[in-house]
Amino acid sequence: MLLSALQELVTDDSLSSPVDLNAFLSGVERRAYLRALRATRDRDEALDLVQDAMLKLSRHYETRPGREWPALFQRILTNRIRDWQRRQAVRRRLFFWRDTVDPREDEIQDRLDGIVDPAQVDGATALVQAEQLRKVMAALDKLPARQREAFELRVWEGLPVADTARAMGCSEGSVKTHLSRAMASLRDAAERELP
Amino acid sequence: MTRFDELPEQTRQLAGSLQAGLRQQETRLDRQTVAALREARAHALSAAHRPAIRPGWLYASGGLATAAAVALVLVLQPSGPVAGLSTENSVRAAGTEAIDVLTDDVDADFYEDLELYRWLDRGHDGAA
Repeated sequence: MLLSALQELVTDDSLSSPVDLNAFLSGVERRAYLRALRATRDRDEALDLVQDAMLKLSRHYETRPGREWPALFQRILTNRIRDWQRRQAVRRRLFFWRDTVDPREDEIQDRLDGIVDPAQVDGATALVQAEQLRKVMAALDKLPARQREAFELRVWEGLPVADTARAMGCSEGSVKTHLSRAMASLRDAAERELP
Repeated sequence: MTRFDELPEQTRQLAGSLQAGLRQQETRLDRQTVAALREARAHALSAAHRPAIRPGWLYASGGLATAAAVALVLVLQPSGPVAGLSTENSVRAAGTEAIDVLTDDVDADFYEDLELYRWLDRGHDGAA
């Protein structure tokens, strides 16, 4: 196994370079940040998680073939987000007397809403689409975590089913099930919200 | 544009239009955030090529942090029982989980790497 991996490193013409990795990260960083922001509701925490995932990919997997980077990066980011959520849950339990309502919650929601701001869109059709998108994204926040992950990785990020399964650490069948349920819920939300 | 052949017809089109809409909206991030992301990327790429320096005091502080976490859990035991467990067991379970979560920085990278190498290996076996 080690030998074949070394041979692949030597012979693979898609072998990565810092320039390629920079281009790759540049292409995924905004979606990664929005995923992290949606999960943490904290701009600084989201930026930290994204930088952490970038650092880990650069440090440990830069020499892997570039085609493997998308699934690797999303896997790392997904793990980072899950770890952050676990720690938050424990902190809330240990420090239960603290106020759990973040005063910046409104600001963060405005920031997320502002990304799909109908006021910035021209034309009646586009306005309806932007409004629909905003409502669907609100529904996305209410989905169970695994369904939301499946949607974010498969639909938003555009990973193939196999890579989505690797990033989520589950089978392809589970990805299809989670995604199918997520899309059914989002379709209901979209249809409910249409004028 | 990504194909969503695994989805039923009625949601396939919605998935496509949502993807297009979301990709378009990414461009609306504020300049400050875009600059912060660019900086984070540059930092990550440059830091990756520097050797990780872990001075001795870092290991000592790690040990102290672990001891503090254990002491904290023992002092601030959760008040309510976990569903399905006796009170004594639920306190023990919650305490153990808290210790695990608060101290798992030490081995998190190791286990993550191990898992990633496993699925990379599985992927190559499947492709061969």
